[in-house]
Amino acid sequence: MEISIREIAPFRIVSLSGDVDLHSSPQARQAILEAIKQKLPLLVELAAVRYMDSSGVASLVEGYQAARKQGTEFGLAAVATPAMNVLKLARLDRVFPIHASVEARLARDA
Amino acid sequence: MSVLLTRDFPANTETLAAVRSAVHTAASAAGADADCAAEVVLAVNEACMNIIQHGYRFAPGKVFRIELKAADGVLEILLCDNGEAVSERQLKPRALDDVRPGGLGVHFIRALTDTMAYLPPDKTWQNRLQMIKRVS
Repeated sequence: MEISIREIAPFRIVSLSGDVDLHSSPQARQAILEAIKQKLPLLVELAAVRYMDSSGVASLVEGYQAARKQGTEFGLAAVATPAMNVLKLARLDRVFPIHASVEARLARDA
Repeated sequence: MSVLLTRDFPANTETLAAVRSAVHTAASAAGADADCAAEVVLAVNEACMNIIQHGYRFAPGKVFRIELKAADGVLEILLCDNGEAVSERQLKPRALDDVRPGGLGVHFIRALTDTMAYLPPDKTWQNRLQMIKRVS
């Protein structure tokens, strides 16, 4: 799994690519929680995720709950089919705010 | 029944990519299309995660065995380990409307396979999880 992090004010965007599994999901979790700790609105971009298991989903849920608790925004963007299938299986596709792309979310504020 | 895979894997998280690759190859050989093969991979990966996390509690030097057999479009997967004995309670999926991290593995396995059940231990393995799925 690769993680890239960028900022397009006021958002931090954490992009995950490759396989988000039990081996790699701790790094995803850390990147997500670090952004939330800094009280930044966060978009997690999943366009290049090839595989995601329940540990990857758990990282997203933990981030979502932490952000909600402190009142900052958390959303998913450009969710690739493998990740979306797993979210649907967990019935979380209706829980997370999901945007077609990072740009689509940013455009809402423009 | 044709044997598509019989292999022991080290029970650690680094192994999971190799597990997924081997299972995908075997499921495809059994006639699973891309979506079906992905479901088999996800189910087996989740079961292996449970072994690593809960059965062996991340202890080093442990192994699990994966066997895949197929006949007439039906895939039989047997996952064997010598971790803590699994109780029936652990096979119950949790309510999904309770949004929290964790606890999704059993739900995924049940949703993605036709049946799942623990077979009695044999002389080699304490836990023997059988999953069956029609793939073609």
